[in-house]
Amino acid sequence: MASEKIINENFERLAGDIPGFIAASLVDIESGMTLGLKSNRPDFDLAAASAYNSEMVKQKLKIMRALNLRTTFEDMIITLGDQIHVIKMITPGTFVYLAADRASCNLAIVRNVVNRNASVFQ
Amino acid sequence: MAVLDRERDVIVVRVVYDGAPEAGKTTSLRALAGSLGQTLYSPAEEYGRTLYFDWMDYTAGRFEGFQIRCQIVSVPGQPELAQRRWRLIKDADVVVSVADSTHHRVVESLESLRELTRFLERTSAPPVGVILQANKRDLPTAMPIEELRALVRTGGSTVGVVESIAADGTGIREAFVFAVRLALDRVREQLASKTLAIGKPEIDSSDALMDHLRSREPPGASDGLPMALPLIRQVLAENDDTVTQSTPWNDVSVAVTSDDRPRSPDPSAPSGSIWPPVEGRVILQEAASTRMTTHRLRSGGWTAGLGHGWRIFSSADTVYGDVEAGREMLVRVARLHAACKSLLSDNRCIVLATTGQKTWRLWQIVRAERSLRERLTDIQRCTTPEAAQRIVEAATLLCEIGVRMQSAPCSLPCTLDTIGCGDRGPVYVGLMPMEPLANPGADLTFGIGSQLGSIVRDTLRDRRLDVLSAIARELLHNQTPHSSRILDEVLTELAEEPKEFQTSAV
Repeated sequence: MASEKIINENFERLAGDIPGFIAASLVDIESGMTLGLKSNRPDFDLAAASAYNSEMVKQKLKIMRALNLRTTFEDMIITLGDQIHVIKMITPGTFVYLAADRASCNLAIVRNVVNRNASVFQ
Repeated sequence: MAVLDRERDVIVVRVVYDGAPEAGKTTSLRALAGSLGQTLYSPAEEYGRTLYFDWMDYTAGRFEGFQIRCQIVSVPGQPELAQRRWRLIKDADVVVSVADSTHHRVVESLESLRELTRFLERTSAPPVGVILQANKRDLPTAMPIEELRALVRTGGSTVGVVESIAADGTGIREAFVFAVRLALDRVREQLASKTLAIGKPEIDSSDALMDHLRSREPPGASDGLPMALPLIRQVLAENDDTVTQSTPWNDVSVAVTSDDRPRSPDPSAPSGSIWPPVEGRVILQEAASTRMTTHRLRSGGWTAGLGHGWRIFSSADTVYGDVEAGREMLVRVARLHAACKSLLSDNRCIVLATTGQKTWRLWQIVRAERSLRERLTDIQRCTTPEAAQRIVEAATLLCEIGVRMQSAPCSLPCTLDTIGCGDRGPVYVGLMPMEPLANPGADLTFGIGSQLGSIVRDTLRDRRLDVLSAIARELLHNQTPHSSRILDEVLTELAEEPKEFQTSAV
């Protein structure tokens, strides 16, 4: 796994490449703890968001098992009124969570930038 | 000490930072506090040295619908404060042992680790996970990490190793998150066995911990005064076993395209997919410490991480399209391992890992221990009596484990390649079969005579008559419960040899 320094450097790059970047973290699915993070908004509780999203990922994996879906879980995109949230699976035990301002960016750019940088987090 | 506090909707776990004096425990916690945006509380220090503990409270993450609250505590490193150290470790759910990994201080750090693991062995189940945080990696005198891992292994304990430079924070958060995962593995076990404490934690703040420690110290002991000799200073026998050699796979790997290649098992595998739960993740973390590439074997199975001191193997047929089917097999194989535990070498685990191709694969990971055959590889350099003695020793070990195997609930093939010699005597060092053998109770020491005969024929060809005579003498003079059997088998094997050979040998 990449070191915290490399993770944070990669988030710096993501923040520069995504207009409207709010916050991002690399999250351990099992514990919901963050392995590295970057936030541009002090009022955005990234630790809590990461933890709750880890539960959502676990639930999604459970749903896939229940439905007997023999496929991989690549990413999740959640569109809120004013934000876009992307969850990108990095390894079977970690994912990147990223939030961006919907008015300043578009979904395709966010997804593309996250996918392009995903391997650095491994 | 993990506690489920339903009232506050949290699971409280204690992460303890242990280690030799000045290894970097407090520096690690300061770096962690900086990384997590928390405040570190150090109730008493003298000349920059921790006298009681450092304390940090950190609530983050989710587990089974509860928040995770970590009580992060470091212990004092000075030997005269060892009582405090053990009292703090006693309540740990996971321990991060911070080690100064420079050449001149590493021995002290490993001694501290050895004391720790011996202490934890006596605590109640489920086991407490231990991580060695190899610190000061930036110093020019830092020991190469593989050398350090080998030294850790000689201690005989199952410990994950994470590199760090506490001074600039490198590796600190990674070690911490890994520690939390191990603590949660333990909590999961406690939940399953209904032994997880429920209620408010007895110690809920640094002040409460301070009061707790002070109340257990003899009158007169104070912050600045050295305490009486430690109560729990272990009498540790030096374990000078030589470093175990890695055993390359015998089977030849075949070329595959990258599309076919399954992903190697990963230490971040979810709980419930690693057995044993805590120790297994540590083993996996160590085995997977270098990026592994999977190789297909001629048999159709897969191996990974060749030459790193581990056997990582998945047989051709243990691939599942359905994770539940994989888990069912994991449970079956885990039961088989548990039934055979007393016969098996230490440091093994089983992992159900995604292949990255919409399937799951069951991997078996075993520390490569020297087999009896490997112990005999340099036999041609021995004198004839020494060679005979070593062959008889190997045969006796095979017989011993064969007898133990007959009364065990499982049966494993006993050959020079699958049996090694550990601290507990002969142990099975090979890979476990995925299914129990059909004939438990049977003698599975396959042809001791022929196995030994091949060594004598192939390795000691030029003096085989002398060696066989010496074996016969060795068996006649040093009678063991198995002597007559070994002698019988050797003689039977000799019957296959030319006539003049038999006569001379006997």
